Amino acid sequence: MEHNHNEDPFANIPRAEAWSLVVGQAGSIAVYVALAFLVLSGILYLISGKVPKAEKFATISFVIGSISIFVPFGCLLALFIKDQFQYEYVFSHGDSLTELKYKIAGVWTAQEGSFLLWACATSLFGLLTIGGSGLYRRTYGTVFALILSALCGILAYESPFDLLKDVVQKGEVLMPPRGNGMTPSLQNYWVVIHPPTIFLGFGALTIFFAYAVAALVHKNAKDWITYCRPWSLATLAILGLGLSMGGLWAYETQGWGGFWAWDPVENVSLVPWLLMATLIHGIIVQNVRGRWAASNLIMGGLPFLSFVYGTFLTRSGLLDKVSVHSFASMDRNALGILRGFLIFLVVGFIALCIWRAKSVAKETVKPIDPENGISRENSYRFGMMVLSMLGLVIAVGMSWPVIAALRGGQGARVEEWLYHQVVVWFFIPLMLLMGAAPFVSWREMGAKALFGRIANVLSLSIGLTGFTFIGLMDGPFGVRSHAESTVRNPMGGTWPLIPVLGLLMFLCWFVAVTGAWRAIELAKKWKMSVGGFVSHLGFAVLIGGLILSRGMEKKQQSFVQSGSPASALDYVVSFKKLEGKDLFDRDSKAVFEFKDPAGRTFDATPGLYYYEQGEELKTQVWPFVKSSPTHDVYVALFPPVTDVWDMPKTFKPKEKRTVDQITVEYLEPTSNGTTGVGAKFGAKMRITTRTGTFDVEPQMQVTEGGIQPLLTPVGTEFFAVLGRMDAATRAVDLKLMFQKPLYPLEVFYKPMTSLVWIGTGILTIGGLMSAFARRRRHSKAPAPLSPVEV
Amino acid sequence: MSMKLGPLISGVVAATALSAVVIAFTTGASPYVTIQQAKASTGDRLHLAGDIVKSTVQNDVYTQTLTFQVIDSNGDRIKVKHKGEKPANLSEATKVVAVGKIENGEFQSSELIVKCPSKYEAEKK
Repeated sequence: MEHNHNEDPFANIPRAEAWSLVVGQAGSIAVYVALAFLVLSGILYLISGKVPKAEKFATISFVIGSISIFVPFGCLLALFIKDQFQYEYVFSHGDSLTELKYKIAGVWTAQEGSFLLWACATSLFGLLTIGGSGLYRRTYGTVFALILSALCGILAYESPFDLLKDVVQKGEVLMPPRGNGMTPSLQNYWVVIHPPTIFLGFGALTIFFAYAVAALVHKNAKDWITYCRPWSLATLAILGLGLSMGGLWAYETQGWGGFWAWDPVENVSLVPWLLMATLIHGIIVQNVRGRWAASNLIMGGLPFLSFVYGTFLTRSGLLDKVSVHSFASMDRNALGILRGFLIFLVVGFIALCIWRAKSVAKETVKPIDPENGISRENSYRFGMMVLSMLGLVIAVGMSWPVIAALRGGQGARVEEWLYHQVVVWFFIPLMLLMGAAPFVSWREMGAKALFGRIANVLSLSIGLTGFTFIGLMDGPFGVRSHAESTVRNPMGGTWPLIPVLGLLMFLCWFVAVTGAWRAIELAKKWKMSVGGFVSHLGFAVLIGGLILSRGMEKKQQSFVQSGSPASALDYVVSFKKLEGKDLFDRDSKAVFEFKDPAGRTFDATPGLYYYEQGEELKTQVWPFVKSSPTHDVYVALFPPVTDVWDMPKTFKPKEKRTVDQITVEYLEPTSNGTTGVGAKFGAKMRITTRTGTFDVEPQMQVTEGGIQPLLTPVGTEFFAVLGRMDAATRAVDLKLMFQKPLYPLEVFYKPMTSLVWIGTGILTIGGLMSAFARRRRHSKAPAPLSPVEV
Repeated sequence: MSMKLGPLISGVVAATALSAVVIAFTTGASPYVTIQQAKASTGDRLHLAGDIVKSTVQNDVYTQTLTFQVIDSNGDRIKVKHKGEKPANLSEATKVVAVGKIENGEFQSSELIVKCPSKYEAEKK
C-alpha cells in the first residue's frame, strides 16, 4: 500500500472546534464543582445547629451546588445540538441528520444521561423547597445535599463527556461528521416528553424522604406534614402522568398491543406511585385527626427508598435476563456508590424510625381519640394498607428473579398472568374502599347508615355496569363472542371471562360514580377536596380502559402478499403499496386495505423503513393504530419476509434435496465461455414448489463492480439467486426469494382504549387541582389543624 | 382493649396476604432453566436462556415455523421450534429467552424474548 509519511492521513477529517472542547471540559468540571459545594453545604448545615451563622452560607452553597448540576446538562445539550461527535456519548446517541427534538432527547436516551436527568430534577426540587423548609432547614438541607452529592459522585464516574477513543491525533481532536444516532426504535415523540416528566416525579421523591428524616431528627412530627402536602399531591400527579405516558408510548410503538407489561423498569416507577398515594392519605388522617404521625414518618421515606432500590436493581444487571430494557453495564465505581448509598439510606432510615418514630409522634402530635367500627379513619387504614401492600408485592415481584436465584437454580420470573392473579386480590378491596369510604364519616357510623348513604351510588353503578355490557354485547368482537373465554384463576383453574370482567367493571363504575358524585357535592361547600375525587374518577376511568381493552381484546396473525389478500379477525386485508420517498425514509409506510364484512374499508399504514448499522441492513417497523371512541384497531407489522430460507443452501452437481417442502435438483453447472467482464456462470436446476415444477438456470455475471447475481423467476412465486459457486466442485449456494414480499401482520381489536387517554387526563388534572388547592399560602405560621367534616 | 382492634386486624390481614403472595410467587413464577433442567421438567412456561447459533436459524415460510439451536450456559445444545412470526429484531439478537416446554426432545417455544445489545445502548467499543 502506498504510504506517504509527510501527508496527514486525517487531512480530510474536520477538527473539533475549540469551543466544543471547552464546553465538554466545563461540563465535567461542573460536576465536581457541584459536588464540592454540595458537600460543603451539607457540612455547614450540619454544624449550623451549633453555629447558627453557618446556615446562611450553607444555603448559599446549596444553591450554587444545585445550580451547578444544570451546567453539565446544558453543556451536553449544546454538544448534541451542535453535533459534536468527538464525544463518545454524543457519537453513540446523536446524529447530524435527525430532527432537533431527537438531538435534545439524545441527552437522556442512555444511562449517563438518565442519571443526569435524575440529578437535575432532584436539584430543581431542592432549589424550590429549601427556602420553605423553615424549622427543619438544618437537617432537610443536610439530607438533600447528601443525596445530591451522591448523585454527583455517580455522575463523576458515569460521565457523558468522554472523548471517543482515537479522536485525539497529534494533539488535535478530530470530529467525526456523523454519529450513530439514537436507536431507531426510540425515535418517537414520546422519547422527548416521557423521560423528563417521569424523572421530574422521581426527583420530587427526595422532598418527602428529607422531610421525614428532618422531622425525626428535629423531634417534630407535626409541621412537616403541612410543608410537604402540596408537593406530595403534585408529585403523585406528575408520576401518574409519567407512568401513563410510558404505557401509551409502549402501546403506540412496541407492537405488542398493550400498555403495561409488568416489566421491572415499569414496576420501578409504579411502586413509588403507590407509596406516594399511601402517604397522601396518611397525611389527610394526621391533618384531620392528629393520628398516625409515626406511620407517616415511615411512609414519608419509603417512596424515595423504593425508587433508589428499583434503580439499583435495574441498573445493576441483576435483572438482565428479565427486562426488555437492557441497559449497558454501569461503571463499577458508580454502581458501587449507588449500592453504598442505597444500603446507607435504608439502614440509616430504618434505624432512625425504630429509634424515634414512635416517641417523636407521641411527643408532638396530639391525637383525637380513635373511632371504632365503620369510620373514615378505619376505612383509610385498610385502604392505605392495601395500597402499601400492593407496592410491596410489586417490589417483591420485580425482585423475584433475584430472590428465586438465592434459593438456588437460575431464578424465576413473575409473568403478567401471575401479577394479574395476585394484584386482583388487592384491587378488589381497594376499589370497594375507594367507592365507599368517601361516604363514611370521621365519626363512627352504623352499617345501615353507610348503606343509606351509598345506596344511590351503588345502584347507579350496577345499572351502568349493565349498560356497559349491553353496549358491548353484539358484533363479532362483543361480549357474546367472548362467551367461551376464560381467565386463569389464582387457585390454578380457570374462571369464565365475562363474569370476571363484569365484577371489575362494576368496581370501576363504583369508584367513578362516587368520585364524580363527591366532586360535584363538594364543589359547593369544600372546594379544596374536589381535586382528590376528580383523581379517583380519573383513576377509575383509566383502569376501566386498561381492563376492557386487554380483557376483551381479540387478535389474529396474518401474512399478506401483494395480490393475495388474507383475513385477520373479521377483516379482509390486502397490501396496496409502499409509500414514502424511499425505503430509507423514516416516514415510509406500508399501506394495507382493511375491509370489514359490511364492505366498509379503511387504510392501515404501519411504518416501515430500513437503516444501515455497520454492514447490516436493518428493518424498523411501527404499529398502526386506528382509534375511535369505542375501539382501536391495532395493526402491528413485522419485518417483511423476502428470503424463503434464512440461510442460502449449498447444492452439489447432481444433488437432489428437499428443504422446507421445496425440492431442488441441481442438474448441471453452465458457463458462457468468455472470461473476465461479461462472463456468466449458471446452474441448471429443476425446482418443485407448491405450484409446480420449473426448470430454471439462475446465473451470476462478472461485472466491473464484481460478481453480480441475476434474479431468475421460479414460476410466479419465487426468484432463484446464486450466491457463490465453488470453482473446483461447482457446488452452488442457492437462495430463494419471494417475488412479492410477505408481510407478517398481527391485528388487534381493542375496545375502549380511548378511556386510557381520557382517564390519564382526568387523573392528572385532579392531582394538579388538589396540589394547587393545598398550596401553602404566604403566612408565617403553618396552617392550623382543621378537623372538618368532609 | 377494643382500641387496639383495628391495628390488630390490619396486622393479621397484612401478614396473611403477604404470605399468600409469597406462596403464589414461589409456585407460580416461571423458572429459568438450563437445557438439562428443562428436559427433566414438565412446566409449560419454562424460560430457557441461551445464545442463538446463527448458522442454524431456519424459517419455514409455508408453516411459519422458526427453528434454531441454542447453547446454554453449560454448553448444552437444543433445537428450539417457534411458530408464528419472527420477533422483529431477531437478526440483530445474539441472546434469546425462549418461553415454552419440552416436546419430543425439542423446545417448543410459544414466546421469544430477544435481547438486543442496542436496545437502549449501543454496544460499548
